[in-house]
Amino acid sequence: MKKVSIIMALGFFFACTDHDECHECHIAWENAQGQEVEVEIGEFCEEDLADVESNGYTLDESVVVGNDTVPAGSYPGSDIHCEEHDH
Amino acid sequence: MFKQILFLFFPIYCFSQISGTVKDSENQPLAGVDVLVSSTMVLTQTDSKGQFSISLDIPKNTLIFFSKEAYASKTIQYTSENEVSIQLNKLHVDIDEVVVSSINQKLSSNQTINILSKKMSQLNESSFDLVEGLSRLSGVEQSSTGTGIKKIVVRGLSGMRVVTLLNGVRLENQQWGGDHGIGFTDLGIGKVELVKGPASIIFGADALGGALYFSDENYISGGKPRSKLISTFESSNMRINNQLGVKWTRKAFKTNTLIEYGSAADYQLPNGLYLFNSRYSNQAFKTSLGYNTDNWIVNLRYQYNYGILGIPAHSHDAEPTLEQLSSSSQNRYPTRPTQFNTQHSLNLENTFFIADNTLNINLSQSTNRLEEFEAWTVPELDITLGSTQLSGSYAMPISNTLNWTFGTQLGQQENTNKEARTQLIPDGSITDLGAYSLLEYSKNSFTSQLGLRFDKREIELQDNTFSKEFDAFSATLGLSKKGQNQHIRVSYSSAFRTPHFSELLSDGVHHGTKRYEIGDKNLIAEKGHQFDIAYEWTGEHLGLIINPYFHLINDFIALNPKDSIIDNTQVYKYEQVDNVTIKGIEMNVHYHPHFAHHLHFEESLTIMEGKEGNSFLALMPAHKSQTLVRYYFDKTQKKVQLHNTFFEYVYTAAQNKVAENESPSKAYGLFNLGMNISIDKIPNFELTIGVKNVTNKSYISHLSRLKSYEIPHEGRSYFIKLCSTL
Repeated sequence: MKKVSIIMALGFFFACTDHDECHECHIAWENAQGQEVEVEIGEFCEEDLADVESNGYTLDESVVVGNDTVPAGSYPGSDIHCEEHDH
Repeated sequence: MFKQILFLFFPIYCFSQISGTVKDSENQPLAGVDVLVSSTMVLTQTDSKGQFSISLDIPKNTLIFFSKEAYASKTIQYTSENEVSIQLNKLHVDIDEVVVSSINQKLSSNQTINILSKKMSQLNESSFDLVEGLSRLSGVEQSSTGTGIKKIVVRGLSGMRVVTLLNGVRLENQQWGGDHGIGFTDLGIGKVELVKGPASIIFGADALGGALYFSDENYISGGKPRSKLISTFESSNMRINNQLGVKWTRKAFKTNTLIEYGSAADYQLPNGLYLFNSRYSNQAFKTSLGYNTDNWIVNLRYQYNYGILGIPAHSHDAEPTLEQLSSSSQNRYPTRPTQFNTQHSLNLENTFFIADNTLNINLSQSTNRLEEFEAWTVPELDITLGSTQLSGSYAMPISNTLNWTFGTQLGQQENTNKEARTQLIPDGSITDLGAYSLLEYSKNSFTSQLGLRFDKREIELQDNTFSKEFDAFSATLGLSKKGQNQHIRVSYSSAFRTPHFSELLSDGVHHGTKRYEIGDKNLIAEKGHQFDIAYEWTGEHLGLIINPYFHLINDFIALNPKDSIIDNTQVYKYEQVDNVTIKGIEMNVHYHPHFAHHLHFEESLTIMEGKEGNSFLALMPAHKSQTLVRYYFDKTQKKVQLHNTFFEYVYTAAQNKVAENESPSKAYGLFNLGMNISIDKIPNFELTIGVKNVTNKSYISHLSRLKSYEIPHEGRSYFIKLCSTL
């Protein structure tokens, strides 16, 4: 029984060990047709990730994505998506 | 000193200890018979000589329950005997197992209201998920968002309309959201009782659709500490789950402590792909400490649950395809969007025995924090619900045939938002006050019950911009008549449900459901009236129950989709509709053929229909039949002993009776197989193995929240369960 308890405790420990908090982020911009256009803004980790998700991101120059042009300017945190979309 | 002071108020009336023998009809001793002292929740078993002994004080009039699989259970009311002799007869058909109800400490067969009772071990035989296990009961379904988020649906109603209680205390865990699951697991739960339909008389406001009453596992009667380890594995989502529990009783002190950790990856669809972000994990801890004196039983319980639940089918595309929402690889690391659900609950239960009367006083405190993250560091929603409840009841016999129970319940709920991108419902409080009276007349085989209740609820916002009061009367009338082979119960019960904060005051995006929800401050309370008839017939080899019902709900509150978009999200509005009717019939058959004594055949059938005026009601479960064939093997001297094997077929009919804007669902049938094994060299060890959805059928339940994306449930899944008791 002791062995089982030790194995379980180790299992709990490793199962709860977290990964590094770094994620690829993009600006989710909606075009005139209501479709989402993504502008990649790079990888953000820990405090930088918290900052970009809270305070947003400033795009210095407009970016052309396919037939759309995403304008330069400040985008709020709610427009910054860092979740995994490619799976 | 404390004890002496208590004795001044509560004089001692005949308490003693008990021992005895249990034999079968051929006067042979029966080993392994469960002997349960209901009021103290102490459980022991008979030894190889059929003998048992309980060295704890037993309050007078306590029910002592003797049960063993394949034998008819027996209950005695303890008076003052120190030595008892019990005979249990072989049982061929077990259509409605007679148990002591935790709800009111009465035998389930003596209830006028229809209470369905099941041991968790029975429900978890081929499913290791609490809600999935409960959905095996007739009239019960599950509404799911993948495999991690599940809600219970009773006779077509769910969420705030079904009250969940754990050891008599209402669990307040934000059931208002369509994507908010039950929030706890089967850790340490011994039994569940289900009241289908209105149950406000005992449980208060909101119990319009029914009540689920969970009771913790019993304490052991004494001796060495006992531990239990349960490990389960399912192949579809590579779910592992471990539960470890320790039980210990010394003199008048009893304690049970359990921990759990579970983790599931994305589940595998029948096409071989994996549903992205259907992963989840959970942790739980619970401990209870019981103590009893001559006339006082007290239990202090604490429970902690923490769940990290992925929300699948998330996409920024308007109409994502199944390929976009699934993945070719399986992962269990939390991603986004995700719910974090933390629940703490503490409750103190007291039972005082005063002559032939019983006084119950319960106090509980719980907090539930629900965080929904779409981003990694900033929550979309962060709501904490705190709840304090105080309840008391007094039961007293007026004469040999008449019993009176009266009680009161007080409750306070506080809803608080923490910093988040969205505040869907504002900060506020709900204050409840209720009082009830129940009269029960019982003579020979006839029982009748009459109950009346008054409730008052006040809802108030913290900033004083909104305040509303609701009050209502509820009533119940039940009649029960038992014959030699027959039993009929007829009941009428009413209930009410006041609108929740979310229904009154929502105004924002609910990311978990992908809806912009708008409440209505002018909503009034729903009122439900149910007529229920249950007829039971039991023969030597055949038993059956037929249970038709009719439920009328006035001023039903519905969440209706609207033809408008706010913040890129479809708008849904809470609206009141006049009358909703739900009618149905539930049937159970248990056949145990005389010529094949090892074979048991069980069939259950659920048929129901919900209507709103001339239209069908949305999200009504489809008709369902479940067939279970079980074969018991003779005990052998082999090293590996096969106890029983079972085959289950669940057929769910097509649902074409749908509401406007609701899509129909196709019929499907699922095969499940399993067997229970023990190994001679490892005592107290049991192994269950099996396969769910043997044919890898692709199916979508009508109540799946992923139905609109045409995402099927899990494909074929192998399971294994190891249970070791030391």
